[in-house]
Amino acid sequence: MSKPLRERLPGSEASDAAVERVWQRVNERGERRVWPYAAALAASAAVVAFFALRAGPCDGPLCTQSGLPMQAALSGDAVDHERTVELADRSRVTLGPRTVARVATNAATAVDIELSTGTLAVHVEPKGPRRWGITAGDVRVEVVGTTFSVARAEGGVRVEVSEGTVQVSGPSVPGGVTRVTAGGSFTNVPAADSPTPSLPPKPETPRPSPPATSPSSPVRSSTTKPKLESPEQTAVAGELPDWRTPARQGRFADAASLLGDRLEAAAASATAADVILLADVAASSGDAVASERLLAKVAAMQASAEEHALAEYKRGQRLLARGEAKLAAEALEQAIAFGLPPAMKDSGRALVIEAWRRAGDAAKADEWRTRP
Amino acid sequence: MRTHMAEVSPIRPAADTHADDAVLVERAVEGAAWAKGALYQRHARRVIGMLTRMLSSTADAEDAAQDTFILAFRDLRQLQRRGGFGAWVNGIAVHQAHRRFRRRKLLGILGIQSSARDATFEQVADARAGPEERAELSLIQRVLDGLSANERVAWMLRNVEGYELSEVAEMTACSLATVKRRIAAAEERIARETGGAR
Repeated sequence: MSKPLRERLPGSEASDAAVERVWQRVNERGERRVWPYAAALAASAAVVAFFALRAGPCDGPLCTQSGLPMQAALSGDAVDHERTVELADRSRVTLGPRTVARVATNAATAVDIELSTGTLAVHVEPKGPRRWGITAGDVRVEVVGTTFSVARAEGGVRVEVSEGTVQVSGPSVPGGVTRVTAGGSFTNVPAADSPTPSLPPKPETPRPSPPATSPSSPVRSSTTKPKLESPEQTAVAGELPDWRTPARQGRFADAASLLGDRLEAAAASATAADVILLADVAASSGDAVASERLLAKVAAMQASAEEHALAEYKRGQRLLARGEAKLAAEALEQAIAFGLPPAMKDSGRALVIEAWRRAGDAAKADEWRTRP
Repeated sequence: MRTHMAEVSPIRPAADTHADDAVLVERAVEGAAWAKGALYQRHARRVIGMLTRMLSSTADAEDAAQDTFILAFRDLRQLQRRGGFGAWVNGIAVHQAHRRFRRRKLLGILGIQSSARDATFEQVADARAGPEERAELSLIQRVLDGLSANERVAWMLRNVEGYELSEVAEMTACSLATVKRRIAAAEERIARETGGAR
């Protein structure tokens, strides 16, 4: 038989992030104890059916069209591509690349999403039962039925409305509250002494904007693109730019581009926590060797047991991914010895068994398998 | 274009994993969470990759993989051949892919757009692939999109994933003769519409 077509499609292979993301979701839903509640559900089935027939398909917490809780569908690590979550009430949320958002409230009458960074494009089905609110820093956008987008980066927020009307409120909004109608936009730009703000450009206008010219006016409402400096533009020669903020928000590619070839320079004066973060930045740039080197460096640093454990765990994962099974097993054993956080203990043990198995040491794999 | 992984992992788990899988399944049935984690670590990458190629959507593939493993762990006691976890979980994944094909068809009839297709053959092709190869992959994808779900899945398991016919039959829960018929029908359509591009 000829070579499987799969080998010509390397981009379809699952990434570490995808494997981890699905595992978290399996755990979240897998731990639900359905059967103990079956009797109660059966007893209330008639009541539920009655209200379901009266009230429509998606009362109560909002779920996706595939039945996934909205929280699980919207949360998770930032990914490099845009993704759309179709909801059961025909509302739709599109997360832009590298967007981090969290569902704070999901109830029969209200949905609240907190936008940490990136862009959310939201279509709220009109005449629905829920009031939607998006909170981006100190700016809050509220709607009942409309289509709009909210973009947030360090310090700045932009709201654009395609259909309907939204209400924008917050301490930085003139008068505390304003309404934005279809075709309009609202831009909140922090004062000049705020830390290097940079709004993500709209997808169709990816060029960075020129520096702000009116720092004394912290809030503008306009239909023009925000005039902000990017962190790259504000970086002083010789000094390291603020790579931590994007890295902590999961935007490793942004952090990598800010650092350029100064990864090692950043690591030279960094704390253990920052070195672990830098290792993630290196790994996301495809530099697995630099990532492992940085993680190994943590072992020689003054660090907490948890930081040592985390560094060894990540190093073990990466070694395993590139086929260094024995080294991976040893690193993972170290991680367990330092004391992994409770949420990581099971996966740490699973990984160490897999690593010893791949290293061909069945005895060690069995030893870990049979440990109480 | 999505970032592609440098390394392509083996299509199937190595033979010695069967014995290990049996032990892990036993421990997982007894309630050991770490054993489920180990089973997941061993099979997740293959399952997610297969679903991504079948569904042409990373979001749908992750949803389907999630449901696959939840069902697999829920029904683990029903697995008679403990060492056959890999094939069993593949079968569940194939069933989940079928469910999503049916949903897409229904949504299409209702005029509702389903999830974004961000992992078509052309989108996930090797970065070094030339324009001719991309055009060929795009053509194959288009023909596959027009096939019935049964023909498409059977053809993909055989020609994209590289499984033996008997394995395809097991995963799709039908006879060898049916699998052969479905693959032949898909081959004929692909050959006709691509002019034998493959």
